[in-house]
Formats: sequence, structure tokens, C-alpha cells
Amino acid sequence: MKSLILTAGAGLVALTVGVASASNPSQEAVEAAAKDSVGSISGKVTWTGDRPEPKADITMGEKESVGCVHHQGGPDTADRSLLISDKGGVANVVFTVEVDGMKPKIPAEPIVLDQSGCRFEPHVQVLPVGATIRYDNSDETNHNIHTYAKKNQAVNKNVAGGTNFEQVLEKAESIDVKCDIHPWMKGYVVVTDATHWGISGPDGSFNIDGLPPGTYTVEWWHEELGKGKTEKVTVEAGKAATLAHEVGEAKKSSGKKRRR
Amino acid sequence: MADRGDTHYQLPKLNLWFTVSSILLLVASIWMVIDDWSRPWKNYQREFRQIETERAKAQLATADSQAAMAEEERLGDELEQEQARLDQRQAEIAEAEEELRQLRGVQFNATEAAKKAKQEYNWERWVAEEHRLHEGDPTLNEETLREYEDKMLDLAGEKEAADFAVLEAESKLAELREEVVQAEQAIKAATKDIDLVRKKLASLDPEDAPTQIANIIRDFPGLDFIGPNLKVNKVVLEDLTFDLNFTTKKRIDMCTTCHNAIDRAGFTEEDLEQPHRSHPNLDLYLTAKSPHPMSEVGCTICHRGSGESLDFQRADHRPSSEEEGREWYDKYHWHKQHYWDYPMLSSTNVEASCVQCHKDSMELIAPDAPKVSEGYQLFERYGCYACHKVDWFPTKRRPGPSLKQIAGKTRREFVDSWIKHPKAFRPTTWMPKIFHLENYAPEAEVVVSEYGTGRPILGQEWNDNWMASVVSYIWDRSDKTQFPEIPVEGDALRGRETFRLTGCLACHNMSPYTEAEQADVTDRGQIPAETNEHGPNLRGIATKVSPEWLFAWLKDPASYWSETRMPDLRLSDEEAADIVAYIMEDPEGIFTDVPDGWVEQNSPYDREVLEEQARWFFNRAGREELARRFREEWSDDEALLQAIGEKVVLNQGCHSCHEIQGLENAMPIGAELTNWASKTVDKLDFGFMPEILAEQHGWSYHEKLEFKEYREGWLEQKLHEPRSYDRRKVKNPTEKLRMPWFEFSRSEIEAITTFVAGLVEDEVQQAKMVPTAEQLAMNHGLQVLRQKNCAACHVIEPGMIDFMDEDGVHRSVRGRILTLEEDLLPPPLDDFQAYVEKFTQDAREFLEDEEFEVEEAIVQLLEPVPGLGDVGTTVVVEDVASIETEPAWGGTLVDLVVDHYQYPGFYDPESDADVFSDPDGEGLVRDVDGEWRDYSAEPYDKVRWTFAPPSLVGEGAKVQRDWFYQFLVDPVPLRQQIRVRMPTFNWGEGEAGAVADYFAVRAKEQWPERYSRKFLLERDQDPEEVVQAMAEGGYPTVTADQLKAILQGKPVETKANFPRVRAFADAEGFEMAGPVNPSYEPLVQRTPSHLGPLLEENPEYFEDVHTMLAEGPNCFQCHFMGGEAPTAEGPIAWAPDLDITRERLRPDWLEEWLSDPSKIYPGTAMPANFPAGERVWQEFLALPSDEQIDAVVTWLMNLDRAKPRN
Repeated sequence: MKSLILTAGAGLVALTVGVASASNPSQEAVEAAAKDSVGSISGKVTWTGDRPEPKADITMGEKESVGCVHHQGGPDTADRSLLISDKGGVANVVFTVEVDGMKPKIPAEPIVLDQSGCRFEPHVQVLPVGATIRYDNSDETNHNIHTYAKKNQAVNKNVAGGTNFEQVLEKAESIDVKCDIHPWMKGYVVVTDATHWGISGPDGSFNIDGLPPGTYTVEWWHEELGKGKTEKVTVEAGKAATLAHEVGEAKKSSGKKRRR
Repeated sequence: MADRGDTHYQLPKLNLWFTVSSILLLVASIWMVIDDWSRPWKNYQREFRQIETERAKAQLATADSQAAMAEEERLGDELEQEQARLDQRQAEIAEAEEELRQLRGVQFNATEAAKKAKQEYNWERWVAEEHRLHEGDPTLNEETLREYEDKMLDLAGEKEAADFAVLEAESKLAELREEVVQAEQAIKAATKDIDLVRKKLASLDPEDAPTQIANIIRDFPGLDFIGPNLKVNKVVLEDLTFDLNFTTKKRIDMCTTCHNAIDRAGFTEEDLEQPHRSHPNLDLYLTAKSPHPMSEVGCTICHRGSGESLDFQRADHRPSSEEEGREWYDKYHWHKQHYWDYPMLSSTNVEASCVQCHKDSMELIAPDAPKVSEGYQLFERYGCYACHKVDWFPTKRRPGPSLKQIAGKTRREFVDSWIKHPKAFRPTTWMPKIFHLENYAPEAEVVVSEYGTGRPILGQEWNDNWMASVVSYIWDRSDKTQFPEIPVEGDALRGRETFRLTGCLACHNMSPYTEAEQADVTDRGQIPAETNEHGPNLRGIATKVSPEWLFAWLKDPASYWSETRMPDLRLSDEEAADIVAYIMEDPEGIFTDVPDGWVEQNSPYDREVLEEQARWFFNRAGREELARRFREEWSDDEALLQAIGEKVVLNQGCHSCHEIQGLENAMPIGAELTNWASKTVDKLDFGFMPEILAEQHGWSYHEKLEFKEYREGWLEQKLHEPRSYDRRKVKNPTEKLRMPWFEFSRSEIEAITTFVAGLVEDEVQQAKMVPTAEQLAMNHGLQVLRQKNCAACHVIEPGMIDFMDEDGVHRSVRGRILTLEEDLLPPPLDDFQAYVEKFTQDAREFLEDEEFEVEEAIVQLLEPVPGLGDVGTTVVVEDVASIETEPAWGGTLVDLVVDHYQYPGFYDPESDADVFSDPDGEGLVRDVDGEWRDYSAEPYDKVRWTFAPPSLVGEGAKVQRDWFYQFLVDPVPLRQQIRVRMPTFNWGEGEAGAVADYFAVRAKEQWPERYSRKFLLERDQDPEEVVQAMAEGGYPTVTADQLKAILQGKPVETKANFPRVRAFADAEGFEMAGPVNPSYEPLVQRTPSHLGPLLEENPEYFEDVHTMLAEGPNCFQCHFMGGEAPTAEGPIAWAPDLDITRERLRPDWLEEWLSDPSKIYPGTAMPANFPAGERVWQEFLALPSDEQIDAVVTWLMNLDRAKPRN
């Protein structure tokens, strides 16, 4: 995990974003392949069309946020549901690639979704089917981990400050995670059955490593914008293929058109 | 003999005639006997025996029977071999037998000798002891005595040896025979089942000639009175009588003479025809274990017809359709039996008979008797009872609104146009059309004025004058004080939110008028559903009512109409004013929208016609008096209109449904129907309708006659065209038929007819159906739930979902289907497949992806299902097309509320923009604290459990009955954050108690099912395995079918078999809280015997628990406590006040809730704070989770004592 600073919306705020690349288990999934025999996709996801008005910041009440251990610079109150950088990069878009005949390696260590400063860190966590997630609580107050899972076992457990619990996620889906005690807290766990994946950082760039040469369809997901497929990408050994992906107004099967 | 010539007759000729006539007489006699003997029912019995014989043979031919017979043969061979081996050892056996015989002789002798020796010894000993006593010498005769004793012991030894020898010889012989005995027993066991079939076959179709001949003789004409093989079957009903022309006799039903299979299961094949078929639904009818056993209810008490007739025609069978009637005519020359007053009911109306015994349980029988229940409910809904008295009918209220203050509510023109044709303004209204009906047809001459000397008055004019006079009269009788000004200014958009969130849509919808418009509607609030048609459709309402009236009505409906079903929502002035502004300003164009062709106008009247009408209504006053009145008090038109208006109101019966000043006690206009169906059909006036209908439908002469034979036909025609029996009649204009036209649909007519055809005189003298107190409570509760429309807001029973699981197993579970793909609301269960189709089409359009398909549906269980999981478990169903659903009972408003939180606005085509209620138009929702917040991205479940009306599934097990009653009478807000309001209902006597009792009794009744489901789930076993485990454990067992019936909650099976399942589960260590006691329940946690030891051991007990809750899970972050707000500031995190718990919740339920809330309400925000099997919060209370929960429950139940007093 590393911290970085970015501008979001109107004000300058500090926020912590987990960038999955350092601990991306998909790299380990291709142990057998020598480094130069595989390629990668690196790309950027940018906003197209008129930029939506940034959403209002969340409010953390004084009484209710007692025990939230904020990071330097005070509480992070930016709305994270659609983060677009100054240059138009869109954060937290998950990209997945399925390579035939390969299986993702299940990481031995649990993947962590932390509750820190009364926010979920990272905002979106990606892990393969069969991996274990550990719900941490780095704050000094209680949180309840409430997952609105449809296919996996939904959980709703009270987690005291400094404690945690684990869960194995068996089925692919994107799960809303909330803390009912602090209603502004919302995060996502994307359980994927793909073999390779990456998630866009604050500037909209992303990386999918360890891909054997071939032509792939890349699928994307974003909490607000929906999901879909990009154009096909051809990966060559030892090289990084580039993918420029544009997103715009939400497109969901619900036709959530008239909504803000 | 020669003719002597002295007689006028010739003997030979006479002899010839005598011979011929004798032969004829003989033939006729034989013919008579045969004809008398050969009855159609005998053929039916023969046919049925044939069917049974074939079945028995087929049964013997099945694989199982074949296997059993092969086994029998094999064992037979074995037996023979054994026997042969035995024969070889015959000598050995004979020797053994002889030896045994001799040994038994020896044994006998030895026994006798031993007995004798013992007696001798006893005698000698007595003698010796006597002597010793006298002589004083203790050693006297010692020698002799010892000799006797030795002899006795010797002989006893010999006897024992002989006994042993006999036993040995017996076992030796038994051993020799053993193998044969075993072989015989094996054959018996293997062939038990087929033996039964064989025996049956032997009696049905004897193969031996003597029996065959005997059977023929038994049935021979003239001998068949002794002990016939074919015989009349009777059910003699001691308690059920029949009124036969002034005498009362026992009912005797002989129907089973032909209907041999009627009470036997299995005769259901397609090709089997009556009378050889089984009765449908044998669980409910005829079988001994059913609630209607044949020996007690027979046939005709339900089906009617002539029970003692043994002939198709005379039994008065009734076809269920015209085609069937024709078929029967060809086959049996069937026609109505003219000499029988109570013809059989057709299968369409047969449920009518339920009414005679089930007056007190009409609601309970609804699932099994849907048609008559529908009829009963329509009878109530359309207000039939208001004109037609039915003495036992449970509802008495006037169905139409009070007209005592109508002048303040709306305008005269509106009322005038409304009564002309109510459906022209509101197509879904229950109010019938009264004026301008066929017996006053517009072009037809009603009368000629001025005692027949003036001009002819046609129907059109006649009715217009009537309507003008009715409106004039009603206006005159109405209080004309205007409703007071609205005290505050309302805001239309805020009003829209209040309208949608407070609960108006629970009972009202705003469906457009035309089908084309209805198809375009996407707003769920405008789509009609069963529950939101409880109140009127509100479309166009702003054109009808005055804002001041609307405000007063919303604030207190009962003060305007004391019997209204509209509850008091306890709206503040601001809220009510907002709703009024919303409706009157109508930003969406809903409330000002009126149907095409609707115009408001006053009916024209004509002085001449009015005077003529007065002559008809007041003819008793005499010509001169009338002339005087026309000149004097009626010289003003308005006065004349009012005078006639009163007469018309009384004539047409407006006062039967509506309260009108001064007519409160006037008699309703309809005929009493309490015993209507016991009236003989000749008492009904068919008028000229048989002829008219025969002309219309091209009926034959017989068909025309038939129409006059059945009361149901008369009734159907009456409901369809109520005034048609006046056709072709000349009648005085004030005496024509008056029943209004309801525009009933065909199915409504059928249902109402079924109900009314059941209104018979009580023939069931000693009623079989005497509901228990609990059944009565359930029935009353169901009735109140329906009348108060509780199911509009609350889910009372989850829906049923049928699907194929991954393994291709068909499942049928109670549950819900989670939102499809990225959809916002879960799919409705009333027509799931249609919804999937619509969703797919829409999604293809939104996503611009023609390939889009709904790939899976996720079913979430809302009851424990053995083999699948507990409440909350989800099952992914890939075969979406295999899903069939039955909607939940209740909860329509839940999704409407969630829908509003997700999208609290509407689209305005004029500005091509979304319009929202919040000041900045951002799509926020106003919370109870007055703040506006965005909830559009909250998960469905989060909003559902926080802001929507609560579920009442299992409510009886959750709340204390007394508290529930109190809450219904005087609701207090439980969830502070919720904007939907539990209304204050206008309860009738006993109604609130009936609801509380209903839920308590229901929870008690459902307990065995729940217990069994949980037990099977815990053991992860299916019913077969559990049954096997019971048998292996040596417990009294049940069959798998019986266990499945318990799991389905079938009451009869549960009562009979559940105790054994419970005993087994108990013995196996399964634990679950006991059932609800619907009458009294102690709060054990508050008793000194519970609290004493706890507080003695730890005087700080309550403080310790409080500390754990505050510093451990921190309950007070979300829960109110004694009115003190939680630390959470946003209402979405708020939870009920813990201080109410001890009065409200049952401790058993609380324990279950605290251990895992999501197993009761899947998706609830309440976390599992004390997870089973874990040790948490040990630093505060070092106990396992279940004991911590006990402590918390004790604390909650004693919060009044535990709270620090200051």
C-alpha cells in the first residue's frame, strides 16, 4: 500500500488509495512463464463527454465519528463513487482478462479490506474466486462489516477496533460492502473468475501483467458506470500492449438513465 | 271337448285365448321381474368390478409383484427340499419323538414320586416335632427323619434329571424341524403383499366354479333379497336431516352404489369416467381422516340432488355446461328431474354448499374454496349486503360514503354527472349505474302525463328529472357549512414526497383510464395491484373535491364518514397541506386528468314531468290535494324537486349504501337473501326471459324449460342484466325493478352466484363445523387483515418459488428473488417471467446490446429448507425459464418506498428534465430530522429494512400479544427514522384484538413445521433419512410422507404425527424455543426466581451487562434508549428504542434474533454481535455467546430496573 495525493472535485484532499499492482496476485499466477515470454497490457481509462458535477462530500458527524483514526490532513470526506482526475483519468475501474487454460493462483495470504479513518481501504478490492478476504478494522471504534453479497454468503458482523475476521469468497460477483454504524462507509469487493486483472489508479492508468501472447477481450467494471467489454487487444511477448479506454455516462441494464 | 252348443262361447276358442293370455301373462311377469332386476346401477357395479379386477391383475403383473412371486417360487423349492431332507430323517425324528414321549413318562413318574416323598417327609417331621415337644427330647426319631429326608432329596434329583432330559429331547426335535419352519415363515413374509391382492382377486373374480355359480344364484332375480353379490350401498346420516314437505327425515345417500371409487384414492386416470373416478382432493373430502368423512357428511349435503335415487335421471344430476347437457341427453336421455326441488349443483357452483356450515370460517376456507370465497368477498366489496339482508353476514357498515356534508366536498354538477354513470368518471368504482337503465329506456314511453291525457313522457326525460330531483334533495339534506380554510400554505413537491412516503399508495393507485396509457406507465405507484385498489383510484380527484374538504378529510377521515376504511395517518397541518397542494396543483398531470367524454352538467328538468312524477309518488293524496300543493308549497321548482327527490332516493335505495340526513333508519330496498337458495324455484319471477333468451340463443323447447328449473340461472341473469325481468312487461313507473347495474364480469357473476346459492336454511341441525376459539380468532383476524388492507404495507407470508436447481432437482421454496443483474428493485413474483422478458427488452435498449440475456436468477430462502439451507441462503438458478412463482402475501408498498428513495422524482416532458422535491432539485429525500439526503446508491436491502414498512412474517413469535394489541389501538413510532406511518385505524369492536390473536395463533400453528424444518436442517438430512434414523433408534416412527406433510404445515397430519418427530428430536438433543402460547405468557426474565440468584451472585449484574453493550458491540451507536438519541446522526443508522423491548418482544425471539439477525430478516442492518460458537467481548463478560445473549435478554427485559435512577 502506498499513499498518494490527488486532486478530486473542487478541493484538494488527501486520500489513501490502495493500488493493487504491488501485491497483485495475478502476477504470481503465471509462475511457470518466464518473464520475457509474457507480455502485459497497460492502459488508461479516460472520461469522454461532459464531465458530471462532482458529488457533494460525505458528512461525518462529530459524535458518530469518534474513534475514527484519520490520516494526516484530517478526515477524508471525498465521495469516491466516480473519481475523475484533472486530466480526465477515471479511477477504480476494474479490468479483467480471461486466458484459456490458465487458472489464477489463489494467494496464500488473505487479501485485506481495511476500515481506516472510517472509510474502506481500498475503495475497491479485487480478488480471485476461492481467495480469502480479511476484513480489518484499524480504527478505534466498532465497525460492522455488512456485505450485500448475492451469491457468496452475506455477512454482517460487529468488528471491534483492532480486530478482524476472514471469509473465503467462492463465487464471482461484485459485492457492495457497508458499515451500518457509519452510513457513509461504502466499498466494493470484486470477486473475479478471470485469470488476470488490474484496477485503474487515480490518474486512470492501469496495468495487467503476466499475459501470454495472444489476442484478448478485456472486460471492465465500475460501480457507477456499469460494465462492458473493450476492443480486442493483442499482447506480444516481452512487450506492453496499450489500451485506451473511454467511459462516459452510466450504462446499466437497469436503465438508470434518469438518475443522477 | 266338443261344443255343447248351449253357451255363447266356444270352449276350444276360450282355451286358446286362455293359453295365449297365460303365456302373455307369464312373459309379462318374467319381463317385469327382469326389468325390475336389471337396474343400471348393477351394470356400474359390474363395470367397476371389472376395473378393479384388471387393476389387481395388473398389480400382480408389475415388476415388484413378479419379483415377489419369483421369490415365493424359490422359497417354495427350498421348502420342498427341506421337507424331502426331513422325510429322509423321518426315522430319526420318529425315534426322537418316541424318546421324547418316553422321557415325558419318566418325567411324570419322577415328578409324582418327588412330590409324594416331600409330603411324607413333611408329615414325619411334624409328627417328630410334636413328639419332641411332649417328650422334651430334641433328638427323638432323628434317624427315621433323616431317612425320609434322604429319600426326598434323591427323588427331587431324579425329577430334575428327567426335566432336563425332556428339554434336551425337545430341542433336539425342534432342531430337526427348524429348517422347515423357517422356510415356511420366509414364504409368508415374502408374499404378504401379493397375498392381499390375490385374496381380493379371488373375491372379485372367483376362479372356482362353485363360487361362480353361487354368485350367480345370489344375484338371481327373486333371490337377490337374501345376500346379493351386487348390492345397494347406503350412507345413513344420523345427524343430517332433510326437509321433505313439512316432515324432517334423515338423509340417506345411496350415491356410492354407482360411485364405487368415490372415497378411494387412485382412480384418477384420464380415461376413467364417472361414476368410476375418485373424488378430487381426498385429503379434504370423504376419507376417514379428512375433515369431511363420508360416514358423517355423505354426498347430498354438499352436492344436493336426490340421494335415495338409484338412477341417473332421478338423482337429478346436473351438467356443468351446455355441451355436457347435450351429451347426456344423447346418452341417458337426460333432462331436469321436474319433481325434485333441490337439483344437484353444477361443478361451477358446487362450492356454494360450503357456506351452510362455514359461516364462521369463511376466511379460513378461502384457499380450499376459492370461488365461493371470492363471491363472499365481492358480496362485501360491492356492498350487496347493504340492500339485501343476510342475517349472519359479518359486515354491517354502509359501503358508500356519507352524504351528510357532500355540499362541502364537491359541486352539484359533479354529483349530478356522477350518479348518471359513475364509471364514466372512474372506471374502477364499485358504485353501480342506477339511472337510464333498460326498464326506463330513453326512447320508451314511461307514462302519458296528466292521468293519461297529456303528452307521453319518454325514459330519457323521466330519468333526467329523477336525477335532478335526487341531487336537489341530497343538497337540501347536506350540511352546507364550508370546510375551514387550510391553516398553512402547502408545497406541492414536498407534498408529492409525503404522499409517496407516508403510505397513500398502499391503498390508492392512479392508473390511467385507457389500456394504451396503462401499458406506457412505468411509475409503479400508478399501476393497479390487488392491495392498492382498496381505496378509489385517485386519477382526476382534483376536479372533484374542494381543497378545504380534502385537508379536513386527510386530517380526520372518520369525522366526515364514521365508517370509512380510510385510517388516520396523524398528518401534521403542514403535511396535510402539502398533500392538498400536490393534488390540487398536480405537477404530474394525474389528478386533473379526467376520462374522455366526461362533462359535468346539471340534468335538465321540466315542470310538467316533475308534476307527473309527483302524481305517481303521491297518488294517495288525491287529485285535488296535489293540485293544491302544486299551487302552494311546490310552486317553487326546487321544493318540488326535493319532494320527488326523497321519493326517488327511497325508491332506488341510495340510503341503503349512503348515510343521508333523515333517512338513517329507512329500510333497505333489496329482498332478504338469508335463505334465498332454499326458496323453491317456482317462487322466482322469470318474467319473459326464458322466451327472450331462447330467441337470442336459439334454444330448443327443452332448453328453454330448463332455464326455468334452476335458481342459479335466474341469479346469473339478474346479476348480468338486473332489470331484464321487466322486459315486455307493462308496469307502473314507481314499481319497476330497481336493482342497479354493477357491470359485473362473467367471473364475478359466477362467484357471487356461487355464494348466494349457498344461502340455504340451516339443514345441518347439529353443525359439524364448530370452530374452536383459536379458529374463530384466526377467521376474524383474517377478515380484519383484509378489511384494513394490512397486506398493502406488510409482507405476511413470503412468496413461493419453484425452480430447477443445479442437479436438476425440482425445488419449491418460500423466498424471494434478488434484483436481476443491475436492476434496482427485485422482480415482482406475480408474473415473474413477463417481468424478465420486459427487463431483457429494456436492458437491450439501454445497453444497445441485442445479445443481452438474464443469465441467472438468485433465489433467497425465507424459510429453512432441509437440504438447501437456512433463511437467507441464496441459490443461483441458471435455468431462469424454469422458475415459476406465486406472489408473497402482502408488502406491495415496500418496493414503492424503496423506489422513491432510489429515485425521488418524476420526469417532466415539458422541460425534458427530472423534477425532484428537494430545494436544489438534486434528487434528495427529506428525512425525519428535516435534512435532505441522497439515498440513490444505497443497496435495496439497506433501504428496505430502514425505511420501508416492516415484515410481519413470524410476527406472532416476535411480539408479545398484549403489546401488539395496544400498539394497534394506539400506534407509537418504533423506528424513529421511518416516514411511512402506521395509521391509527378506526377499529370496530374486537378487531384490533383479532389481529393480535391471529398472529399469535398462527405462530403457534406454524411452530411444528418450523421445528421440523430446523431439525432436519441441523442434521442435514432429508425426510427419508430421518425416518430411517427414527426406526433404527427404536423410536416410534412416522412415514416419510407424514414427515413431508408436517414440513408443509398440513394441520391434520401435523396434529397426528408431530409429537413423535418432536420426541425423537428431543431425545437426539435438538433444542429450539417452544411455541407461542396465544393466551398468556410469563416474562420469566422479570421474575424474582430468575433475577434473585443473578443479583445475589453479582449485585453489579445489570451494570456489567450495560458496560459490555456500551463498550463492546456499542448498541447505543444506533439504538435509542429511553428516548435518548443514538450517537449515529444520520437517520439511516437509527434503530428502535431498547426501552420498549421488555413490553414489546418475546424473550425467545430475542435470543434467536441476537444470535443471528440475518436468519430472521436477511439483509437487516443489525449485525451478529454474539456469533454462535465464538467468544467475543470477553474482557467485559467472560461467557460463551449464548450465555452472553441470555444476559442481554435479562438486561433488556429489566431495563426499567437496570437503568440508573437519578
